[in-house]
Amino acid sequence: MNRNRITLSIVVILSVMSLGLFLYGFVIGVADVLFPQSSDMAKPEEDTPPLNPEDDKLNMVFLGDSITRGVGDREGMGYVGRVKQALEQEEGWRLSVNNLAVSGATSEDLIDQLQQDGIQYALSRADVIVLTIGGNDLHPGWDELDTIDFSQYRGDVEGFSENAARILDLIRAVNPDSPIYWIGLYNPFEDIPELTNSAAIVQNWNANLEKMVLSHDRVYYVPVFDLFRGQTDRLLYTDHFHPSAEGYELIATRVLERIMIDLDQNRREDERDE
Amino acid sequence: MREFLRLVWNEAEKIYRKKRLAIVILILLVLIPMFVYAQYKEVQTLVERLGTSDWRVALQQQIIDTQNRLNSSRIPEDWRNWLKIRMEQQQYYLEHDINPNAPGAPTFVREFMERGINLFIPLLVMIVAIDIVSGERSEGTIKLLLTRPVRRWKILLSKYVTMLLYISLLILLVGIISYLIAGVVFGYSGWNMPVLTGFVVENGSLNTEFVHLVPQWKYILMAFGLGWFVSVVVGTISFMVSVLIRSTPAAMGIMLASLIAGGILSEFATAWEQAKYIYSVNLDLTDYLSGQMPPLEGLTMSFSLINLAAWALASFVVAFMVFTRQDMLN
Repeated sequence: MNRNRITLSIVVILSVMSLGLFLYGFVIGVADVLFPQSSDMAKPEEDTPPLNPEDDKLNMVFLGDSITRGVGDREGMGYVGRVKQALEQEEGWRLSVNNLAVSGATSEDLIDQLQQDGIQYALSRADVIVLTIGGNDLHPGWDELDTIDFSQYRGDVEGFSENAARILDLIRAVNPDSPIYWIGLYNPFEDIPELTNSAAIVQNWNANLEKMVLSHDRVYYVPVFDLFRGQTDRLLYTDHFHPSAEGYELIATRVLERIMIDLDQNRREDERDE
Repeated sequence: MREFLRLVWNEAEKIYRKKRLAIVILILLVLIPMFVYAQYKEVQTLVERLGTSDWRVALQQQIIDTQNRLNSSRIPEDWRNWLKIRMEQQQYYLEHDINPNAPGAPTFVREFMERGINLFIPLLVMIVAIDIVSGERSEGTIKLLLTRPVRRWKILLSKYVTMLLYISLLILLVGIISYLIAGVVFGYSGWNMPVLTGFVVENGSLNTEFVHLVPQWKYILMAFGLGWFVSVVVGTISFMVSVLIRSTPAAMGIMLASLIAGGILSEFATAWEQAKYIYSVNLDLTDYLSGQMPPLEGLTMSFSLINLAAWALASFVVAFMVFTRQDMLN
């Protein structure tokens, strides 16, 4: 009986104390929401945990548009997922993969994106950078398809070149050394008889991109135009624009081949150093 | 006054004897490890997918994933707005180099209150409050209580005060138990970690003018204060139902239905603005603190506070009128 009385006393005292505590919390909480003070954002002192650069892992950052996002593939695996799988399972790499692609992005969108802190942070720690961009710059949009004279259409090649150079500058500003792989465009329109000229337009676009890329160090152009030529019924998704699973498979193989050249070379150099 | 305190003591002893707190503690001990494990699993999956535990990379990836979802045309408009606001907020966290979900028991305690405030915590409150009067009627002990030479309103008030005390204790227990259990997995530190608050949602966009930093312990205190207020309101409504309805199961059913209705309405009735007058739609007070988009148009902190206070006040008045005037003995 006496023990019960003591426990009950503790219960009641604790209750009264928590009542006061939460009433206070309620008052400052309401005040904080209803009368917010704009502040100078001075940070309270708290030691931030040390960054772990995870040197034992290969940090891969992917940038660009729906092709890199994997639109059209089941579960959005895309070429990114396949490259990851191949590197991990066949080549024995430990990876950290960051896919920052936004479907529908144009080169302008990518430039905006590259100015964000989080993107720059991810890029700064990247060992390998892969990107696709330009498809949405060149593609005039479904609404305008009827009104465009395709015998004359070239797309804004000059504007894109400028943007592409700016993109590389922005990447290099935060990451001066890591290799950048820039995947070219394929022609999704070759099965449309009215657009006979489309192949030439895409080739011209790619040639221009390749030329621009050549003038930069450790930036590599990865062509995929040839992979898709004459095969678009098989390699395109049902939307006749994005690659199918098979199409992504081919892109992945091509990208992987190109990346492996550099990775193998690095490995050999490391071994020689030891 | 001494007489009143004795009444409160007496009521506190009754609830203590009924082992209601033991039930609540038991529920917390069973469920919180599950929540902790779920949280832990979520973090693990993300680390596995990205191959890194760097929060900046993870947060950036979440932002990009949201952007891609926003670009697909199939999502409904209000869900899109909600995603957009959340994304802008994540962007703000990233720009100011603050981790919104730094692992640690305090972060878990904070998120547990933010997620539990609209249903889980009110349900616990109901366990304590629902049979506070109806239980005495169905067991017949109310006769003993009312035949004493004490005014009826004093008896009811002592019951109400006791309920307030137990609700406060319950909120404290939620905090302590979730902290102790989560710490086993996430570690016990992180009380001083900075948290951003003061996001204002205006016309579907995020205003960051008033954003400021508070240490996490203060944020948790504010969140628990808001949770406590919600619990008092739900407790007061349960208290009234307990006076009005003799059968405890029926009273419980009514409270459950009205609480769950709030959740359903804020999911479905986004076009029916008047739903905002229902108390259970207004329970998410912590959303105003963290700057989430409210489920219905026209919901603001001041509206929700006034609305909840009005419900509580009305319930309080009805409970006392009925208890003092009606025949309670049958």
